Amino acid sequence: MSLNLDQFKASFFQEGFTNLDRMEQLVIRLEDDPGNSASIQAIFRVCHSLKGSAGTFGFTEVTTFAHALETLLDEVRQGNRRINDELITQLLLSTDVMRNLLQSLEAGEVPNTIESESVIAALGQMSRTDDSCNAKNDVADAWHIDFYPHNDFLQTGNDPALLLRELGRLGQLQLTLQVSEIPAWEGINPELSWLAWTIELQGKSIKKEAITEIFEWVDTECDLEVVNANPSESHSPIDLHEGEVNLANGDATATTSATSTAAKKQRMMRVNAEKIDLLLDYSGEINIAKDMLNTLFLDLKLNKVIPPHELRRFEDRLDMLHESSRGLQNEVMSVRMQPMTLMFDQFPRIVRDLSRKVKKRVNLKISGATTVIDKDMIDLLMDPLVQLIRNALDHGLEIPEVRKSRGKPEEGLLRIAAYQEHGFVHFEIEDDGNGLSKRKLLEKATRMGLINPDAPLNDRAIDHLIFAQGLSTADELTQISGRGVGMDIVKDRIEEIGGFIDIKSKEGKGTTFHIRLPMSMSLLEGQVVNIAKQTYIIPLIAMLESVALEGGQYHHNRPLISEYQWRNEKIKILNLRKAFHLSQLLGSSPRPVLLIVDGKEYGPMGIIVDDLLEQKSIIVKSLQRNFIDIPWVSGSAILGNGEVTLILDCANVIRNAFKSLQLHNEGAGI
Amino acid sequence: MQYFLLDDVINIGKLTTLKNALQQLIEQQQAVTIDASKVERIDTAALQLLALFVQTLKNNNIHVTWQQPSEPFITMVNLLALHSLLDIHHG
Amino acid sequence: MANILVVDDMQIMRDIVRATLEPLNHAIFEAENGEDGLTLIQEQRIDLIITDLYMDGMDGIEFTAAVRHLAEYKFTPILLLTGENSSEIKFRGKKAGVTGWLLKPFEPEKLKSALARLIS
Repeated sequence: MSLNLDQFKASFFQEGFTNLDRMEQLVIRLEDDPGNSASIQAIFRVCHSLKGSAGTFGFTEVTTFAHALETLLDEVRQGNRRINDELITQLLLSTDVMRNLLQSLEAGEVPNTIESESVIAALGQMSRTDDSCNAKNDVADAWHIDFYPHNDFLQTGNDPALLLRELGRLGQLQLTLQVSEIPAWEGINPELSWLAWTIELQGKSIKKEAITEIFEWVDTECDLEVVNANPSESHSPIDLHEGEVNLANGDATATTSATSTAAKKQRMMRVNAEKIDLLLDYSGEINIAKDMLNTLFLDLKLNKVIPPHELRRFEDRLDMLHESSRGLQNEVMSVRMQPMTLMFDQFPRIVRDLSRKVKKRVNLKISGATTVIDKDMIDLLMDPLVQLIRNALDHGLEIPEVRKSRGKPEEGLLRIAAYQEHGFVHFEIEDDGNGLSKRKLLEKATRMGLINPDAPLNDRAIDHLIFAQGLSTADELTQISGRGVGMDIVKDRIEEIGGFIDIKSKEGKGTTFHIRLPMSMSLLEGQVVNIAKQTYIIPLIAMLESVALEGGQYHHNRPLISEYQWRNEKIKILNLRKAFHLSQLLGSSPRPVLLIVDGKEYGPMGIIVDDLLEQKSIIVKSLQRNFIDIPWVSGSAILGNGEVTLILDCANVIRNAFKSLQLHNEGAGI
Repeated sequence: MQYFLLDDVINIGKLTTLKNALQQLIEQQQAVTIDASKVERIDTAALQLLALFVQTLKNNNIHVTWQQPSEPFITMVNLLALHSLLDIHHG
Repeated sequence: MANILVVDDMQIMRDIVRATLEPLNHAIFEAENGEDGLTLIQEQRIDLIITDLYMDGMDGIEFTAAVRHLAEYKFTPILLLTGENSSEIKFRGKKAGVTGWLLKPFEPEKLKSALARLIS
């Protein structure tokens, strides 16, 4: 979305020159007082904000220069670069260069970049000289290397394979391909690089220099990180903050914790540079919108009378802010998204191996490998999905002879599909095998005391018994399903990441598992609802449908659990007011709403709420530890008006209601 | 079943031709066998393109088989850890 | 195995490069200046170009830029020989399309290891 920024350029330049003057003063102060970390931080911040605002206006000459300067300043503030004469000179020179750039740009001229390029080269040279404080870390037996070529890496005739080959001459290499997103075939430019690697290099006393030398020609064309993988060998000082000094016997012994300060493993993530630019654009726009809103607000405060065109302007700015922050949020979220390709890639092999073991023939159909999902979820999903596959192969599909006798093709079908729908990620794992024996499930569950003989279960509930702990209808422990990761754990794992798992099975025909997952674990898409003047949030992933109800008063007087015809089913609906013991005297809402939610083993169920308010993306805040564990609340959130609301775990609300009804009935001797 | 023979020398300068050839194979939507027996020199850019080709077909459930990949070819694949993306599993 | 072109106005430099690389089974071609070099590469397929920076006529960086304009040589590895460790030269060189550089005077081993990063 474009924006007419001309009116704001004047203030950008004004601020820019002021900032450069400030930077100059700070640098001079730094010369007199090199240890002053506050000055260093301040200089860094000035440079960083100049880079950001120049970026908003598209002044790439300034952003390029500021970026090079920022890189150097970052080393200074990390303590990896000494502050000496040469550095001070270059910093002062840099402020001059940027001032000249701004002056040209302000005058509407194309700035002359010869000077800035030359200084950039000098700054770059300084960054890379071995005149750093890390000299003691430069020899080790094990190195961890991140090698991430930029898109344009191949343009100068450099070939990653040759560099990796030379790296291999220094020691033993363990290479892992790192590809977060496989590009689309259409429109691919084969001259651009999209591969990356992490490398473990092991050998005797390998010098860091030897490694960096191999990449010396390409350091501006890639992101390279060379880290000592053997922290015990780096002579970093013992961190006394983490230990204690025992002076009891007059001698000081310092104990340190196991993690030394060097080489702490961080959770890192690679992000496409264009994505960062996009994020920067959005945040720049948000900043501007925010400033404009502030200005408008101050005006409005002074003028008691608000002309309609002012209100409209305000509204436009608000819309802009909405759009930009939504855009920013989406982009940030999408940074964490990865296609499931690498996970799906493993399935054919797993299926092939397993099918040989159980001597069954399988026709594997896979689709949706490019569906994206939060990268953390991919790791957590692997185990449950593999367990479902094992299950399908072991218990689901029959051996070829049996299939033949049942008139089925000898090859069993195993279908694994992933897709996105309604903002959620869906998985389906389907086999055309035995299907679940409802009789066996009921028998076993009854024997285990899991079932109340007076409460008949419908088909779905019976199928859901497969998820009950300790229940398995396998007559013997087979060789592949004996690992102990049962269906109950599959369900737990899925629910831990905020998902739902459903099962449909027909004896003799087959079984389908359907998993529904949120796109992200950190954001919850929720529906804010009103129940007797209290606000709650219901996760959208649990909601199947909402129905407006006629005849308000009647619905508030329904018993705790009553029946309702929804689509082709008769479902049970829960009167939440009664479930929550909220006073009837609060009166009825004129427009109660029936929400059809996923009641897990109870199937779709209805809950009546007084009103539907907005839908929100919420960052879930878990309840503090000092609250008793409430099973039907899964977290809390803060609304726009500052109110704190609870997030309902509908399935548990329903379970609770059924339990209390059961107790009530038992108590009443029903 | 489509058959495709890779040249002896494939590098970044020849990728437009290669891409067009691969494009045609994709459009046929039929399984492909790639004969890599004649390959003497191949670079990262070319292998990268081939990896994308294999993944693209895989996405459409079309199978790619490798026929007699030459030593130089395998060496490069190992150097780049591309065996998974290329779906090539040789010692 | 590879066809290597050395462009340098000093005979002795060309001799050193030949002496170092010919034993590795490469075919060495020579040119005294940039213009001759450009002519040669269009008559003969060349797999790697080694060029000095300071020469009469066009310098190594200008030569590189001209080479890059030829479609068949857009990605051919080009190694720049230079006597000064100047970040400005490296910067300009990269912009012109130089693949890598080697500081003069160099030991033959350095030339060989540079080569290993340029051709297979």
